[in-house]
Amino acid sequence: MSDPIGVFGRFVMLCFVPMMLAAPLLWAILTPNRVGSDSQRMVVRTRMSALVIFTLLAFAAWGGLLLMTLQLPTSNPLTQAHRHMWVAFFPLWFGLAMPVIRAKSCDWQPSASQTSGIPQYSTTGDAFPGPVVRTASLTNRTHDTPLQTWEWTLGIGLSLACIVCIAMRGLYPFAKLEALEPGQVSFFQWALALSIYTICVGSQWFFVPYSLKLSHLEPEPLDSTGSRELQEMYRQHRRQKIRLLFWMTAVLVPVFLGAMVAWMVWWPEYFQWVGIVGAIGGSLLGIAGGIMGMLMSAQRMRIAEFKSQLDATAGTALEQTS
Amino acid sequence: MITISLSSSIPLQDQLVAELRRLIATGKLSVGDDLPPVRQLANDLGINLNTVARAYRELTDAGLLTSVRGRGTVVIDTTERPRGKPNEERKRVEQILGAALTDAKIAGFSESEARAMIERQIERIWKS
Repeated sequence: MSDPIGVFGRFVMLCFVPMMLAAPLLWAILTPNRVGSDSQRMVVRTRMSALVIFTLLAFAAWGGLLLMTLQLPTSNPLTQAHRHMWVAFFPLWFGLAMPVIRAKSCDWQPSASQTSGIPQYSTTGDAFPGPVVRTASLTNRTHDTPLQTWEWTLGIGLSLACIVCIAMRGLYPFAKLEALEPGQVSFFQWALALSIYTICVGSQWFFVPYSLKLSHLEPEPLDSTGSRELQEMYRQHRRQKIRLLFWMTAVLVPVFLGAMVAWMVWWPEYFQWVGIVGAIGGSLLGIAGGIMGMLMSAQRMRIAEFKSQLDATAGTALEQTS
Repeated sequence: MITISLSSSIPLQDQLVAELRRLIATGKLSVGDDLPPVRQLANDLGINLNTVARAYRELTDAGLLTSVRGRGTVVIDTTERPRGKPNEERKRVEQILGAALTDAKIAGFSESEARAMIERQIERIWKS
């Protein structure tokens, strides 16, 4: 452990794993509570309790493994399991934290998001909330994809190239797991890396068409006149979002992950650097994703504002004619 | 473009069916045109998925729409499949027309005004 990079790498992982385990709970706690009724408050409390219990269990498992692996070499499966405990982030986040956040943020509920920005002016000049008129376009948005064939080909091609690159290492000899020296890779490590990468990228590609389709189906309520400008704003926003989502999830993430895994199996002597570069690169990708999400939300808010202006104009016009 | 009113006494499904029939009858939707997916239309209008699905199904049963794999719901005809024999069909439409004209008379419209209304609708539906 005299290797400074090794010490630094271990220290990074020592901080990284608990951070990943705590992140869902912290995020859920920091989300402002917008519930109004007691029943909703009860739902939040129940979901939050489940999140707290499972986060504590994850920390207990991590702490237990830490104590058990203090004296064990890096190649030991228990040490590997301890390092990979960060994977528990995904069930904690998607299974437990997201339901809490959704329950706390009433604005995110489908019923509310679907009706937000929908014209609610009175068609008879009566005071709000008079007759509610809702208008929608009859254009099938799923046919209006901004993605070209070359983009799909590039994404799939790069993912396959990464798999092939990792798999090619199998053509060369491996060191024995029991007598593994630093800078060597065993068959077990290579097979594990190859299968994890293939599963990750495979599931990523399995969900990409679905997530893109969902982006097409995001509510785009129109004003009563079906303003062309509003429709164009929605269209631009949707196309931009789909393109960014595709490049992020189907190109950048698989390529970055593939490069890291390939580096790990081909040049194991720089194993510690993989961890550092991977953590920094992964964080940068995450930050880029976050910025992308915020920009898209801001754009969506501008569209909603424009729509409410149109609705207000239409409402005034109707009041004047009645 | 499709518009519905949540305050109307007419059920949402019937409003959707009536709007889609109007768009097909006036030529705004023609044979081969694609309709939005059920989820898209339901999201945009902020109504239940089943309401849109049932409306589509009603028009599919009437022979106006069909589902095409990989493409979605498509307009296949501009004339509804007859619900009964030609005489029965004529009787049904005359009844609807009679009820509408009765409404017009009771609402205080004159005969010439009612004629003008019918002319306007003929102009809108047949000659648009």
